[in-house]
Amino acid sequence: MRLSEAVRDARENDDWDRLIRAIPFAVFLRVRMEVKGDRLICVLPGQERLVGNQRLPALHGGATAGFMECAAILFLLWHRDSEAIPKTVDFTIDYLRSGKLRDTHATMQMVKLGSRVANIRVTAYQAEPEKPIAVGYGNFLLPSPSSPTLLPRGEKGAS
Amino acid sequence: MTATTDQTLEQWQKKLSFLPYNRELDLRFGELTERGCVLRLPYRKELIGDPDSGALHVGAIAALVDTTFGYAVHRRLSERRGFATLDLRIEHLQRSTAGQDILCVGDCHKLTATIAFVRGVVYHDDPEAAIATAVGIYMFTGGVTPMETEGN
Repeated sequence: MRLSEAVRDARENDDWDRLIRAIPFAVFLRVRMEVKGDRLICVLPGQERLVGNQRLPALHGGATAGFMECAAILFLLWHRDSEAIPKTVDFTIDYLRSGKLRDTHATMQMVKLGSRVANIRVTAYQAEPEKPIAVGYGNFLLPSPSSPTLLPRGEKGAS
Repeated sequence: MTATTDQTLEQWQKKLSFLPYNRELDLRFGELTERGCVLRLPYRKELIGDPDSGALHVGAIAALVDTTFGYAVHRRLSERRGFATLDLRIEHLQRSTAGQDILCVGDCHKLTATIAFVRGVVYHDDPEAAIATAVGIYMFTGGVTPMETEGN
């Protein structure tokens, strides 16, 4: 199944697990999407396999980063009325606290939704939402499904 | 205790594979450079982000970058010191190619008493044909390094 079909299927059935199942990396991290009213919360279950410091023990910074980038893309697919798949242009993370071996939650804020680019802020927290373990922000390219991305003459697409 | 700069590639690989998430991603030590290192993320279907193209998820690339940069800092130090990632920024220049391993070179170009600065490039075969560029800042915490628990 193409990803755009999985997005449509998830939206029509209001079953966002169908979207997760279409993205292998989201399955690999065991990410869950929890829709509460008009809000989306993504959950990364605490797992020994995601540890990056065994002495503390602490969540691997790369696992936190991967979860937050994944959550931002899931948020865009959930939020927009489009099946076009966004592309990450850049993503920046500030690590604020060490992540413990427990569930991590991510909430997303659409800072700006333009016609071509979306700017999203992601907050990752564990037990207390007011004590985030990391905050991140990124720009995501929103390809129009009907028109191919314009490229400079002579250049081939990245994909 | 062996100074970190004297250790072999095998010893570095042992440290790398000691941490669960590095093992989950099957990260490999590729090369030691003067101020850093090169790590490899083998291509695997489980790490795909875009099922249409088969390209790996940017989140898997983020783990490769964070880990490479951390080891670049270790490589640059003459003794073991604990540190934590303060911030990490990745710019995705182009989509990666399905089926190909991804490499990251980390260059720890500046060390101060409290902070280490690292920059790097993510690529398949040629660092000049970058998939992504990244910068990271690491802060010394005064604690033990994650690798000290292995007891050597």
